[in-house]
Amino acid sequence: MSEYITDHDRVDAIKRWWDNNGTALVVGIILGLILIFGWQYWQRYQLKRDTTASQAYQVLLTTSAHDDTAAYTQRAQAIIKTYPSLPYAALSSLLLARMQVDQKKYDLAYASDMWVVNHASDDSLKQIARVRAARVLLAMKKPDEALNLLSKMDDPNFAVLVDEVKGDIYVTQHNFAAARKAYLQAQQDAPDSEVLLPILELKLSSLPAS
Amino acid sequence: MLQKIRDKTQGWFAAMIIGAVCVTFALWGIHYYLQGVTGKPDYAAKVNGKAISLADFNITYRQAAQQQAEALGGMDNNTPALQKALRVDVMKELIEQKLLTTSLFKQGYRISAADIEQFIVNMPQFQENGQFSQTRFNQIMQTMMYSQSQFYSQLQNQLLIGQLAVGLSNSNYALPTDVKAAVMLLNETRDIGFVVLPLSSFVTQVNVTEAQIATYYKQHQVRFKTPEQIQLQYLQLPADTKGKNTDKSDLLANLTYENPDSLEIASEKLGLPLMTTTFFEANAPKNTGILASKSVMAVAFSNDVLNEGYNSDVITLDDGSQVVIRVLSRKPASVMPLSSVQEIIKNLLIKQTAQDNMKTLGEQLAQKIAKGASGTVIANELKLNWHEKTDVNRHQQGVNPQVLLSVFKMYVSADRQHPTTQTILLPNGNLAVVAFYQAHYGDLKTATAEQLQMFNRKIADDYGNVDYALYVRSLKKQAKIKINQSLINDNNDMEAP
Repeated sequence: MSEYITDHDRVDAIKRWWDNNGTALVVGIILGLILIFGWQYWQRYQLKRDTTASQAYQVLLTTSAHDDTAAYTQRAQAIIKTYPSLPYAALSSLLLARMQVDQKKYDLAYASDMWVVNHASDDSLKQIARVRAARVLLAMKKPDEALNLLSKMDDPNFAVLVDEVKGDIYVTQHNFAAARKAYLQAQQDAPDSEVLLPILELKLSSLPAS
Repeated sequence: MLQKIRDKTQGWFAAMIIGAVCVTFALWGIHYYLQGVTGKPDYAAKVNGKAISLADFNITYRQAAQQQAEALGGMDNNTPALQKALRVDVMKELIEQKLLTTSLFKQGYRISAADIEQFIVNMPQFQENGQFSQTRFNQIMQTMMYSQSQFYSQLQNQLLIGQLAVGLSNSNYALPTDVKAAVMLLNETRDIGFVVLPLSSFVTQVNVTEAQIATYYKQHQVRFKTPEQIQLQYLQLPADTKGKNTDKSDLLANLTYENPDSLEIASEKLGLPLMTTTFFEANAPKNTGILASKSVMAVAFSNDVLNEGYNSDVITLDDGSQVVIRVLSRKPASVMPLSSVQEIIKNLLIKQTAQDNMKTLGEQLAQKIAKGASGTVIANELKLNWHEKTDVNRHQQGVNPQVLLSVFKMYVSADRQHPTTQTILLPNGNLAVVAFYQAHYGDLKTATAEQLQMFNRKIADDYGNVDYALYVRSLKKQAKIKINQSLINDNNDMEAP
């Protein structure tokens, strides 16, 4: 069949193809270039944003919260507001909670910890923040709310913390049998010598015998 | 014209095909094609599919070994057990690092190159007269066996992990209740009483009958067995230093082989004295002389030598000397006669019974005191002293440390009327009956501001570190980790590829 096709026919075919598809091809190439450069721009933008956030966080880490609480708060809040989707926001909120606990502003500390529970994308950070928030609730004398918050913990790797705080809550409610059970469970949960809760054993031995 | 177009199209086609291949390579990773097919893993470990290279493992291991050697002050750390332990540590460390850095990077943690440089410039280790020194930096890189880029990426990893670790540990806190609990409990004192029941007083009261001894002897025959012992006769040809002994060596082999039932002929012809060993058993822990040699021991208890009574073949010892052995006499395995072990059994039975009696009495006393009986009265009845001590703290001097440790683990009594009690077996064999009457908790008011601050910081730090440890643990639990076991088990395979 190919014997009947002349060179002229072939050139014609190419021309026809170009007439039909040329615009699409050019548009496609331009779109492709926009995509490539757009992607590169986006990457650069992200890197710039991430490293800027990192630097701001690094400054927060090396600043003492006690020297100038107002400046510290401002720095932390700036990170939380500007980069809410980055992990630096979550860590800054945790650091802020620490300062607020030291100032005995428990409602603010609770809010800062809960911001992490509600906004962080790192599940482990959420678990940690939730236990800390429950401890703050206990300090605010809200044991039932604290228990309720702890009931939402779903990563068994953090069970040791949950059980200890539960024990603390039961002690305040004078439910010593439940407290002992919780503390003993916490001792069982402690996976290895790296995880030593500071005063767990002391708390356990101070419970009345039952 | 046509040819030109065709050439061009071919060119395009070729370019497209090559381009496609390039893309494939880029996507799938060229190293999959270049990877060897030797069957041995070409990685130290894989963490969620990401490899830790053998080179990284080897460098880290060598640095760790060097640091360990320095820490041990030139002590020999080259034992296989230590090496293996170190390799396990290095593996664990690298896996955790890989796991954390990949996870943190994915989440958006970043350390810029400028930050790393800034960090390096500020490191006092690299400074001379307060200024960063490139020469010093290069020197240190060399002694640390790092390339500059390796050091950069290592530093980047550390800074990345540090952002999480420091963030977590600095952000946790001690609540007033925590500090209060710490003050209350660490400064707690307890009122206690105890009496020590001496084992010796129970020993004198025990009577053991002949019948009891005989029964014990019958029931524990295995304990009183002695294994077979043998005594060897041997000839020893000293180590050959100048090759003169080759003939003698051949002669020794021939003479002892041709006269398998005696060493005397060889002894006479070679002028070697007939020697004898003491009696020994097959599993004796430490032997001296020719019996220290494992080959001699093995041959001595071999069938030909032990059971057939033949001369052994020539055995070469570690010092180069040669020996031929034969069994001179045997003491068969036997059970020691009752008469020779009677005293041992008697003492054993007395001690056991005394201990049982002591424990039973101790438990009885503990129960009585827990119900309200006076420790003093009870101790007096036994002509013993009841020691009462008030306000004993956790580090109290003058109280038996075992008693002290146990006392602070005892629970407060439920009704707070009667003491809680416990018996404690002391290392010297005596038994302490301990009563814990009352706890006096530390008072927040008497704690100094410094003390409170110290407790506060300590508890906050500890909780923060626990958070970090659990964070790493959780990450590890969810990860797929594949370890190149040959790096940990195989001792001879440590060269970098």
